[in-house]
Amino acid sequence: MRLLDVQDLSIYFGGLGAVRDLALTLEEREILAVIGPNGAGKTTFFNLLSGFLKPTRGKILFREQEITGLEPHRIARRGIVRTFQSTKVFPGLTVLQGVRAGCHQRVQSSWWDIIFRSRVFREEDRRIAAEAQGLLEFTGLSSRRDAQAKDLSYGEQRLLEVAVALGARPKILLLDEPAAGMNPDETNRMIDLVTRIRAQGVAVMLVEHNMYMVMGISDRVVCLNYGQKIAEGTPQEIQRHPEVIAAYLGLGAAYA
Amino acid sequence: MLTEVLQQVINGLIMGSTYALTAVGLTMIFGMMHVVNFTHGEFYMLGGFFAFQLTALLQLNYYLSVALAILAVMAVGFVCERVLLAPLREKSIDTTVLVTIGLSIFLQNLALLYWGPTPKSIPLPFSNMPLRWGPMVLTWSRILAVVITFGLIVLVHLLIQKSLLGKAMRATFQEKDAARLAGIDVERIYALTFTLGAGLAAGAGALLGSIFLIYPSMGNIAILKAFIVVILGGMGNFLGAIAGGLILGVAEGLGAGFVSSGYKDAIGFVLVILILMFRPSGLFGKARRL
Amino acid sequence: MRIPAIAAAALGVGLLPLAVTSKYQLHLVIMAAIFAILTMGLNLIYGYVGQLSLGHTAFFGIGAYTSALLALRLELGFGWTLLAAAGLAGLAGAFIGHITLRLREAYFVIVTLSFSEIIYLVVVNWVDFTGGPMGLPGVPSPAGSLPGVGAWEVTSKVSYYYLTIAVLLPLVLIVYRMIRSPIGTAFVALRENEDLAASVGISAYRYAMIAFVTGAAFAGLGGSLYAHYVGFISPEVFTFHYMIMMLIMAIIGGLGTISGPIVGSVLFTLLSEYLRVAEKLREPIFGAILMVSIIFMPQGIVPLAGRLWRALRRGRFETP
Repeated sequence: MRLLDVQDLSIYFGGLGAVRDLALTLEEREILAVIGPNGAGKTTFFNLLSGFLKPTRGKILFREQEITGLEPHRIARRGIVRTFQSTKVFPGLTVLQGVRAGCHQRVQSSWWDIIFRSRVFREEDRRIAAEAQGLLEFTGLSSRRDAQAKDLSYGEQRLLEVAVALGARPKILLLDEPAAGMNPDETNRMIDLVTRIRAQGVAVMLVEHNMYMVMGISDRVVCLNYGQKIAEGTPQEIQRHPEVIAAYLGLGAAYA
Repeated sequence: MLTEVLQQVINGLIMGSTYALTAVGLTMIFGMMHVVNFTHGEFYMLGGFFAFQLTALLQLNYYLSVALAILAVMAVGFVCERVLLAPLREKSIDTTVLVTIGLSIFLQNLALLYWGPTPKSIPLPFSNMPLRWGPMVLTWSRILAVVITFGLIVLVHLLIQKSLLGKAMRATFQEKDAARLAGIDVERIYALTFTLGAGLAAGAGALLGSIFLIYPSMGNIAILKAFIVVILGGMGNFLGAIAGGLILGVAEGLGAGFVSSGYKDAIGFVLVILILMFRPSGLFGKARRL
Repeated sequence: MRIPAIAAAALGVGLLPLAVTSKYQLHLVIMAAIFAILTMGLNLIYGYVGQLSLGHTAFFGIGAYTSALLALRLELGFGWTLLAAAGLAGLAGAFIGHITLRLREAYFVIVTLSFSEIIYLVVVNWVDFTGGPMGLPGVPSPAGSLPGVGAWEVTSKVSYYYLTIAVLLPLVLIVYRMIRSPIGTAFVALRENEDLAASVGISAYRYAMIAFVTGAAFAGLGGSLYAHYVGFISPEVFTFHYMIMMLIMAIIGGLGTISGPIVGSVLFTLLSEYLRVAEKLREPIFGAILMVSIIFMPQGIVPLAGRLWRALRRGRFETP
């Protein structure tokens, strides 16, 4: 079964088509990079996928079920979780609390269980605690467990974002510029993390400007410009694609 | 029967224009700046009381008193903005709401202590005899209120839409950082806009206080009506504020005819709730994110 | 560490009427407890979820009037009036919440206030039903009949104290359990970053509703206790005056904490009585307190006290 099927997706703001007739697919355990110059519509595309924007036209099918126009929290519950271009954390919560919030949706305890602290509740509480701890170790944040999210460094906050998102056990993880503002060491850590995420069975779609990361990790790359898909293929194919080069460097460079 | 309805409508239009006048300042502060300012009612009230103090107790000329009252309240507004609001601007909205509520209680009770609870009236410099126009009754002062309302709102609208200052204001409140980068002194714009808004409220208070009465809690009702008008007319839409005020006035006037007049004030609240449920950008506003 | 503290507190609460013998002082304690119930409700939607509701008094008033009317007109026992108060207030909360919780913050503030004003106007004007501005006098003290026990009635101040505590304590337990569960996690996640919470599947509407309706029901319970205790209610219970008091209590006690509302209510009730001598200056002082506390002490006393306590404990084990 195809994991994600986007058909003729478009959104218009007034007369401006931020995303136009976009079609792409995503298979299980695939890492797909979405690249393109600034303003190409990449983050808008993520907003459409995750429900933060409603499209003007088109369909989004997740595991062959239509999710177009659903509210963000419903799409997250189905299994598509995103991170944001500008880092979002729960500033006043500790790292551990934040990740536990991410694990929230798998809670089964009912009102009765909660008020009376039944065994069902206590077991679930333990399970979530263990899961959250596991995610901290997975992302390398165990040492910062009790620090407040707002006190973390930029790189740590970015890792926290991923940990929180993973708490929701996504089938597709949308990473919006995960390597932005990172030095080479941090970038390598992020690449390693994404690889390990894929190994856990999660498909990853990333918007990224950092070509080192894009080339190093993606199975496929899609290039957008002015809201439309202008190229699709393996990293090597995209690297040589004249339209991609033109989009980034200007028309002259393509045929230089 | 028809004349009664017509009288209600005329009364409604006149009341409505007073609501619009009260709301101009709040359109600036709430509609444009997005500051939920609960002290606005007290700016309105102080405008009335300062004018009263100057005319009745110091025997100054009416127009001079009103002008001075406006300036005095603008000073108060300026201090409020700089001392209380500017430091809290980055915090969440509820901080501003609560601070302005606290300030409003503080100012209202100080006024109560100083001037006492008995309503006062401001003597007008011209005769206020009722006019009969066919079967309808009007007074000069109310006509004056309507004229000033329209004139003032159009003036403010032109200021905001056409002048350089107005452009700077709109830029600041749409996108503060971009405005700063374009060389606009953002802090000065905030202070100026708030002060102007306070002054407009004071003017409304002084003028309406001359027509009706002034008392320390007059701001309470005024501010609620003002919020209703601003939301009805579309945030930041000055011309919309005229329409919003008139609609509110007429709705209340007609409504009071059908339901008991005690419920009259509830009409505005119901309107606000309905508007926000079905047309959040107001009757005349453009759809935009707050 | 917790068990001895809780036991001590329970003992203190249980034996309080032995220490506080003055009727007047006991009255203050009862009022503080009733306000604590109200403030705990407000704290759920404002302190935990982070939405400022200015209409909380509506639920207080609805609870008070429901109890009063049922007791006066239908002569129902206290158990029924209490339950009905909570139920009706909760229902009103569901209705108002459904309309308001999807609105942006500034609008939420204004519309919750609007609802409160509408209800006030209805109560004042519907004289046949609610007694209008004169209010409802002669609300009977809590009474009823239990199978096997027979008729009972609460008349003495001491009994009132225990009755109020008997309502307050289970509510504290409910809040405690709720906050320490995924519901509480969802609350604070929404307060800290609503978009992020949505992106991991937390529905803002659902959890805000839970907080809002629970808070409304709490206020209804407080209203019922108030009506039966004071014996007379008027539309005054819907006025902004009570809203301000609840806000001050919530803020100075500590928003988003479990004990904050209780601490805040006690402090404020004491402060309010102490300031009674200042007469007309009392109101502006309240306004000033609201301003000062939100500017300088927005987290409130309980978190500050917690930090002080931890700092003191650390100090004790420092070796030179």
